[in-house]
Amino acid sequence: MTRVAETAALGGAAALARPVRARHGATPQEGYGFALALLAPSSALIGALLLVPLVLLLIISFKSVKLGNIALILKADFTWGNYFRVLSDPATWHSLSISGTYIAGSSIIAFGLGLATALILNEKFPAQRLFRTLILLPWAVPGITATIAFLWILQPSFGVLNFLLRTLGLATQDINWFGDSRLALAAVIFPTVWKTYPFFTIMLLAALQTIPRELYEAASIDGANRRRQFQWITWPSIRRYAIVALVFNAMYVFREFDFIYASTKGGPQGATDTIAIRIYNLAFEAFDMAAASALGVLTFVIVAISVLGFVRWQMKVEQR
Amino acid sequence: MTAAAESRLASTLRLFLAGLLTVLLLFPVYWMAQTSILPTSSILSRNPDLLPKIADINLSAFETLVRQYPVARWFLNSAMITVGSALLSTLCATLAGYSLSRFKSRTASGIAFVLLLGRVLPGTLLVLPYFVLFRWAGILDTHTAVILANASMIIPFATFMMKNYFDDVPRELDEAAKVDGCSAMTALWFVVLPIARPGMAATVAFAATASWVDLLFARTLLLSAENWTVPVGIASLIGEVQTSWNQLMAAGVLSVLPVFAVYWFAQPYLVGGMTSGAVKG
Repeated sequence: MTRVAETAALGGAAALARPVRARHGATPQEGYGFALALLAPSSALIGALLLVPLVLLLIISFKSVKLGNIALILKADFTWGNYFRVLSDPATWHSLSISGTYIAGSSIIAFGLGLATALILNEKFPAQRLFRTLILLPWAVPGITATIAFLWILQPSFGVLNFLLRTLGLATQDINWFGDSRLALAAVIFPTVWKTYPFFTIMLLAALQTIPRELYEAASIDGANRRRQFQWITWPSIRRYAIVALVFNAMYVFREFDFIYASTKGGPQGATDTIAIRIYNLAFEAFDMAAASALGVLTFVIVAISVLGFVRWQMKVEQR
Repeated sequence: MTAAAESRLASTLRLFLAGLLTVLLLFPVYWMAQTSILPTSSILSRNPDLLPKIADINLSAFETLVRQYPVARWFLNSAMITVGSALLSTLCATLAGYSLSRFKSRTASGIAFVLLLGRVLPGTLLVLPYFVLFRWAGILDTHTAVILANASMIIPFATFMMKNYFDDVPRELDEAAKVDGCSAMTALWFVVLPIARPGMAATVAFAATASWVDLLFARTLLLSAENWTVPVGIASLIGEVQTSWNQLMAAGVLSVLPVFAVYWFAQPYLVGGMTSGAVKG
């Protein structure tokens, strides 16, 4: 559910980035001090829990120390060694490609499901509200709970999916979904898609509701069938929202932790070792805080560049 | 076929399709629930029944789970962290959201932007400096640590949710209150906040859900088992009761009950509030 709010938040950011003077007159308003006072609690918390940690992360990334004591960390010598080590490690590049496959695979499937459910929920039919609540429900399920449900469904000997595949004659032997290094990435995509598709449903449903009914009426008078109506009216109207949703979902999946940690922890043989999981394992399994921090800083640079690029792109689109 | 009959057919078809999709998509929840009410002997079958046999149904998995593991303790810990995070986040987000809605300035835009940029970082990246900092501050392995970590994750989103609600409250209202002699603070407290109450309810619901489901921060910042939350407890069960699938599923069922309750009541506000933020942009 976080990513939905995040979208709201970044949508807000785009709004803030727009020039505001046009709407609200000269900038220094009365009550300026009051405005800043209201912002103070949030700013203090975020400063202490975001800026300070980021600076600390940057410092640790240049130090050769093992875990823990902040005083010791600050005393150690500076070195570029961690960055050199991380960048020359093939495992880093492997993780990056795993992250890419994981994001692309889960986003495409979740988008398809989200579009299908949004198109159905956008039309009027009996008990629509009930279905809307039910279809969006996986959104509220904790990630860990979704994961254990799929661990059980995909269990090799007693899992219901293998039973269904055997019954339908699609498999002759048991498939070890999470244990087989060729299938593990597909296996972690199951819970990911299940928990993320409602996000696409919500975003696309909101977009669909902005399309005027008259467009469809006019099109059907002109003899356009359903497929043509989708191609000419629906898709062009929701395309922008679809791209925004895909970008935000990609960012959410990029930092995903719960599904992989609770099922494969990055294995087997690194098959599900995404960047987010690799940072965690380096820090808390291998206790190599310095390398984890260096990888963290590199990740931060990638994310920051993507976000800035995206916000600029969105502002350009809006100005058109 | 007449137009009316045609539209009735289309609507029935949609109902059928929606029903089919719902059944398919909710299957994991159903399968978890039905496993939790069956004895081990009947779930460890190569050919499971898709509908449970009535005679087999019992709650012994729940009983064993609660007897063998400190489930009540996990719920209490989760509840305390959830309430703490929700209150702290909603308080900060309401004040900041009002400020961003009513007063525009470069400073405010700057603060907002920094806040957002940081929030797209992987949580696994932030939990690392948190671990070091909280140990240094002496609050590692306390609920306070997790409440702070959760709040830092929730406040930025919640702030923009609240900003959107305040944007919909006409500014003439608080201006009129000020003309009538209210100070900025009393205008906010007596005039604006009562109107923004649904928005605050949605924010509380969002914040509570987000901290209830958190695994990463609780798993990393809570070291002793008596401080664990529900998700951490469930994660610890995975290795331990590899064969007791019905107990694991029972834990899963228990973990979703509170979220479903919140979701059921707050769903219209949540969906409406969040999409308006995204689409109005």
